[in-house]
Amino acid sequence: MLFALAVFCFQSCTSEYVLDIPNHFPRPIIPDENRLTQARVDLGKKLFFDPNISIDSTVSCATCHKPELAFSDNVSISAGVNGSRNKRNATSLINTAFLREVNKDGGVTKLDIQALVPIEDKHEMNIPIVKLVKRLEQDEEYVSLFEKAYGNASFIYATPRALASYIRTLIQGDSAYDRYLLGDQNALSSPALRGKRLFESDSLACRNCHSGYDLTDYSYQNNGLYQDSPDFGRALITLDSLDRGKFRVAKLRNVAITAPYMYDGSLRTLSEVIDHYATGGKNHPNQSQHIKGFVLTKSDKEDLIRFLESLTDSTYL
Amino acid sequence: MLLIMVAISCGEDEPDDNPNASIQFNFAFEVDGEALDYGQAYLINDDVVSFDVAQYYIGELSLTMDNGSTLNFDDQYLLAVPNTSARADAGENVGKTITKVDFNVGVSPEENSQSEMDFTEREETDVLAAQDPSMHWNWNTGYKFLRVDGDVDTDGDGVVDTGIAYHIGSDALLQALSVDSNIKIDQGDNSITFVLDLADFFANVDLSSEIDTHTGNVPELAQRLVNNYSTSISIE
Repeated sequence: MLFALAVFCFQSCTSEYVLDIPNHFPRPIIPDENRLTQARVDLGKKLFFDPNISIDSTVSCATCHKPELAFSDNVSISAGVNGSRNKRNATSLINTAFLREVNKDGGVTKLDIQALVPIEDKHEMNIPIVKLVKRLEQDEEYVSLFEKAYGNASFIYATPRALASYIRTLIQGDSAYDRYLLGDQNALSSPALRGKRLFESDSLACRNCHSGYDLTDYSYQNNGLYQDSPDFGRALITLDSLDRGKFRVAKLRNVAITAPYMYDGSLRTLSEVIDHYATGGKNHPNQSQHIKGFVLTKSDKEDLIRFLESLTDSTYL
Repeated sequence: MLLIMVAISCGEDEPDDNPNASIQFNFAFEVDGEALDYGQAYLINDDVVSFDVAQYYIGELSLTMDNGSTLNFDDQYLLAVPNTSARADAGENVGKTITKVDFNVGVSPEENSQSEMDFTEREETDVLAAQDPSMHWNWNTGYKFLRVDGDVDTDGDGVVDTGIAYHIGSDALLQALSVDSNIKIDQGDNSITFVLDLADFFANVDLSSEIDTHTGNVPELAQRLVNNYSTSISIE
């Protein structure tokens, strides 16, 4: 009996975690050294929802990445420990598994260590990873979970990788728009279909950047939000002034439930976002050439919003 | 030219068991020639300032002897932190004089990219492993080559209450230095001390207004500080 239980535990802990990937999606990026197992996903999930991974045990990943909001937040800038706020809006974590570069400026080149960003940022969890792992090493439950998931690997190695493992499971591809793409001609309402045609029109040029299964081409663009961008964005990484104010084009999946918008959460509604692009932006020197402004009737604007609402996937809601 | 590669061990000072010779690398931090004390107030360019972190990476270290041979420490790094040291075997160099010390301030692109091995994968004793205070940027996957943190008095009331942070990094700012020296290697213990004088390091910086650079956000200030390495880092 004991042997059977041990075998069961070993198999379930080391067994591969099989992702449910929609047919129209690419394969996610999963390095061999951090292949997905049930044990790693379970550990990552526990860490994700645990406020003890912040300096004062008040802020977890889920504090700013709420499952019911597609793992985003509903405030412009989320509050970290002691109410401290950084300068960027919390992004939705859905489909992060497909990113080659993480963070809005692409500064982190592998998801497996991205969790160090919020963990160590003084405006978020504000705890050096060296200190955090000492805390985790004192917790018997965590010690057991880490051993099951990563064997004898150090907690510094395993902590961000476990979080990455859990985040890789947050895959969605079952919105009305997805169903329409897969052949269900009735999946989109008439207003949403009209909105889709507008979205794809040359005059609005949305799809020049918002294309593909997640409606982003993953390029870095300055969308003209400010004439003089207070956040250098991509230039913080490349040190190239031509990248100032550029951020990765946002995924539009779940866009209707991930307000507020823009890298700093400065626009509250989809209507405000459309108005921004309609005006043609603020003419930052690096502004994308695709943002030229357009004219929409009130009815057109409503149709466009209906289309954007069709990108909502209720899997985690 | 004779090339000799040897290993460096870091950490606490230990008795030297080597019957030949060893070199101890010491790291001194000063403010206008006075030994740096964390938390003490100093006057730099008329600004009252205190420091609580000052450290930097040394890489590609090479010692040139008076006969032209070199003692190389390729692919090894030193983390210069106040009151720490590292020790290396001096090899067959007893009786020679070190005439030149070449090194980089920072981490070479291969390691800085984190592509082969990132700071979470390294052994705890590796200075390129995660440190506290951190020497890696959590948001761009690279190392802080040099880090100086502290506080400054910005309103003239004598109280240092505004945080300052100067974090230099990025491949473009990897800086090679070559410093002349005249250190004879005798049998037994020898020492080479890297001295960073923060008064010289901030010689052309207005500390009360230029309160930070994380390199990318104020690249001009980062470059200016890198340009100051040659006048602020010396070898004794």
